[in-house]
Amino acid sequence: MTDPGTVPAARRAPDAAVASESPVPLLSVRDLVAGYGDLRVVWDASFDVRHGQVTALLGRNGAGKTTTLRAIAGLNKLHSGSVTLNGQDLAGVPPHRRIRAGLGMVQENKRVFKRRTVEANLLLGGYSRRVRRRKLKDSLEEIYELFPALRGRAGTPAGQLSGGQQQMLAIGQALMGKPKLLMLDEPSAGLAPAIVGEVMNSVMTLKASGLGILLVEQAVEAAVGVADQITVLDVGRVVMSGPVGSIPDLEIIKDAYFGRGRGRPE
Amino acid sequence: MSTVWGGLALGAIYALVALGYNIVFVSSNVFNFAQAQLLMLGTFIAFWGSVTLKLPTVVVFLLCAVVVGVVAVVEERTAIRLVRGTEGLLVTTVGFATLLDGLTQVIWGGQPLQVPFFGPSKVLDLLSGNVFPVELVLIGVAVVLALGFVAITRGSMLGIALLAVSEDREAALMRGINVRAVAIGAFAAAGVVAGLLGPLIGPKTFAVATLGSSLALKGFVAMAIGGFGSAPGALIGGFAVGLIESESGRYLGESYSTLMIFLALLLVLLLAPNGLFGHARERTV
Repeated sequence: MTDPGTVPAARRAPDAAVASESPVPLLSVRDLVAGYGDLRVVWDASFDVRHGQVTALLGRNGAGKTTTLRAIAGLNKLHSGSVTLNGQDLAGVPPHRRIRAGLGMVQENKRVFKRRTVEANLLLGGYSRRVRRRKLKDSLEEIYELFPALRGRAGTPAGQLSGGQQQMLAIGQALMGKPKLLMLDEPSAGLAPAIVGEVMNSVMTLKASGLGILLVEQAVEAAVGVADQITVLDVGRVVMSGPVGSIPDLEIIKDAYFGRGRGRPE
Repeated sequence: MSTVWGGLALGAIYALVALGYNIVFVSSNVFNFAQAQLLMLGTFIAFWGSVTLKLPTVVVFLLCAVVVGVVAVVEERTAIRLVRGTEGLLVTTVGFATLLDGLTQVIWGGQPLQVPFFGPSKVLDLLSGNVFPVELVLIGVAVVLALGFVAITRGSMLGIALLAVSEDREAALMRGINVRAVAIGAFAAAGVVAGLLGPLIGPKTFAVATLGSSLALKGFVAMAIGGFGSAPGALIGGFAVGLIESESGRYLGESYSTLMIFLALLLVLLLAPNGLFGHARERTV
């Protein structure tokens, strides 16, 4: 297992420097300790997501990225630390209320309702807004503009869409709730490179519209291409954090992925 | 034709049991084995309200709805919420059913109690067959409830939310749906409906402590024939079971009626394992 200490201290941007850019971050995670039941998987993670910016949460399999997202969404136990969304402390707030408070969650594995039609999936995405069905139907157009591939497939059961379209539907579903913060868990997993590009383009569009995005990825290049801030997790701890520009070489991140102690001669 | 009317009325009751199973099943993926006992409790409360307390009809309906609704919520909180896993729920919901069977027997005894029908009781001659007004009401109510169920699940946000919860609880939670409220709401709704049906079913079946288990079995067959989770299926399945029971009872003898029902179930399960209107339910492992 990689010792977090092996990453040069100079690579770690201090939190204070990050926080000085804008007074109030959209999402602020401080000293988060989270896991499943009594099992702790993530220790002392701190990072921010700002309006109109992408924070990429990187790390290899099992580093604790998904656990961190789930803890922010309220699906996993938060042992200690704080999660603040738009100034609101989310401690003790049940998951469905976090969604209503402006959290948009796209879970891994293109988690759409496969037996329901594309339109029903999207309408359901707007459930948290608690507005009339007709008003939700007006919002559908915005999603179809972002993802033209979904247009014309409104009546198709989501399970019959291609993997890429299901991912777009999953993102569209979260967007229907008009979130302030969008959390994406491995949106590129299992997709063809061309489709990954399409998904990342939509991330850029959303970012330009002012949405804050927390992006969990294993595809380092794709994530770094859209990210403003990077936080790298390894074995449940933040080993590197800072603006994209402050990290000179992707190889350093990749090292954190594959571990220094690969046992291969350099 | 008289046996057809009788069979349809009986079938309507089975369909109503199956619909009750569906309301809960669709919204929380729980098969509530005590659903028929809730209907039975409704007939007892109807007897208690109309005969013992001599309350006006409207109050009897209200009483049934409130009492059975509350019992259903109690069931959700004690026999469902605390339990994890389908196998556990099988035991606890059957346990709750047994509890209701026993309690009603302790309170009201084992003898069938006649629940008076609040409407006209004169036999009607319809399509050259004899039919009681209460039988027509039962058939009508079953059809209306099945259609209402379809309208809600297909046409409203609540319905879409219910289906979402049944397909993927956690994903539904991540769409801002209060999954717990939906689950308890479905139980309350199924309970209230079961209660409201008490004064309608009681006149046909009598209030008797064995009613629950016989309705549970045939309601289950109705649901299996029609397909799990399908309201039209519950209706068709219910009518089919009722008709098979009354017709085979007439032509083959009473002792054959239950046998024929299970023969029909076997045939349907062999030829269409998901029932007539059901769909395959994928499971992730």
